[in-house]
Amino acid sequence: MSDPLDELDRKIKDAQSRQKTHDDHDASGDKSNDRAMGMAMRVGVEMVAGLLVGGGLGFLIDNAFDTGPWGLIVMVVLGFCAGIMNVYRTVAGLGMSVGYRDSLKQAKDKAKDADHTDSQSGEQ
Amino acid sequence: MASPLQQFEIQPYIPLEIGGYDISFSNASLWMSLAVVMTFAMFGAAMRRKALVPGRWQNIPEMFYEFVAGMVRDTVGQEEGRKFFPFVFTIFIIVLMGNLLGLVPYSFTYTSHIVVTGALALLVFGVATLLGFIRHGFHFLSFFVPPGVHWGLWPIMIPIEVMSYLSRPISLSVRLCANMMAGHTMLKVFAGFSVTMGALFGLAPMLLNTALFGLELIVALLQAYVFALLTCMYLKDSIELH
Repeated sequence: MSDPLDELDRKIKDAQSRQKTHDDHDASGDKSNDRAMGMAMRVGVEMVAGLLVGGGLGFLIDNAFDTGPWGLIVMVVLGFCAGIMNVYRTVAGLGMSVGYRDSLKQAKDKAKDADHTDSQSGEQ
Repeated sequence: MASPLQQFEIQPYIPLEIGGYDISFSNASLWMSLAVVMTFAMFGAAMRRKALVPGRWQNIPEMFYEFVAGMVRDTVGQEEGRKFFPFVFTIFIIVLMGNLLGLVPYSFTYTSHIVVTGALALLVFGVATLLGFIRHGFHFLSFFVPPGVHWGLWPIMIPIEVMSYLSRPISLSVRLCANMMAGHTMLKVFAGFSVTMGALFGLAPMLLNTALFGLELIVALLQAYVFALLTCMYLKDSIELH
């Protein structure tokens, strides 16, 4: 009587562990894919946005202080830098924002968070 | 044949004007209202039974809820995230419904207009900035001083950081609007090919359009996800600084 039950138990555990590794594999694959796709969408716009902000600010400065083309020139260059920096941060995974975040600390946070985020592997 | 850009035209259905402002009930208003009504209908119908084991209809809102809740928890944090869940969820649903309803033939995609996405992005930007100042006072301004950078570089780095911060609402709004507009224009262009190429050869663009429609479905979901994710990240930056 206990033999088939043990057998079943073993089978279930087997299947569960298999499912788990499969899920892990799947989740990481999906996530990196998702992230790559999301990143591809972000990066291009990020550069243009920096340039636009630089141009806009430069134009405002020139209008306000009557500084000829210099405000525009300087601010467009700086805006381009900001755009490139945004792209670099996005791609390097330093957080996609102002300020550098220590990537090591972020990785640690993620590992910590991973404990209570098991329930969301099935949402895409 | 109609221009592929004609779908983005605003058509006022009920002309209204108050205090010099044009507040006509247009196709944009109609589809925004529809999005709200449909969201409430969907969530209301799904949550009426409150079954422990969700049925098909209950599953959809629960999936959205868990998806956004997980995202907020992961990015903003367990404790802090809970307070901002309603905000992020609202943003997510607005964008998602706009994107998805826009895929219905003859509908209007309100997320394809920079006015709409710009207003949403400015709302997110304003909330994040206010939150930063409320939480950290003027210490929030230290956000613009990159750590580990020699002070000699500050005159260059601080304007760059400020611009990088100011570019957030622009990139947020332009990304969504441009994606939706490009996708919908493309669909219309290929549909136009089908019309001009006749019944036999028009089949090829139609098949391609079917595939593109699938792609647009992914883009609609992905853009809503990206918008909500970036909202979360901006909130997190304001809460944590660095």
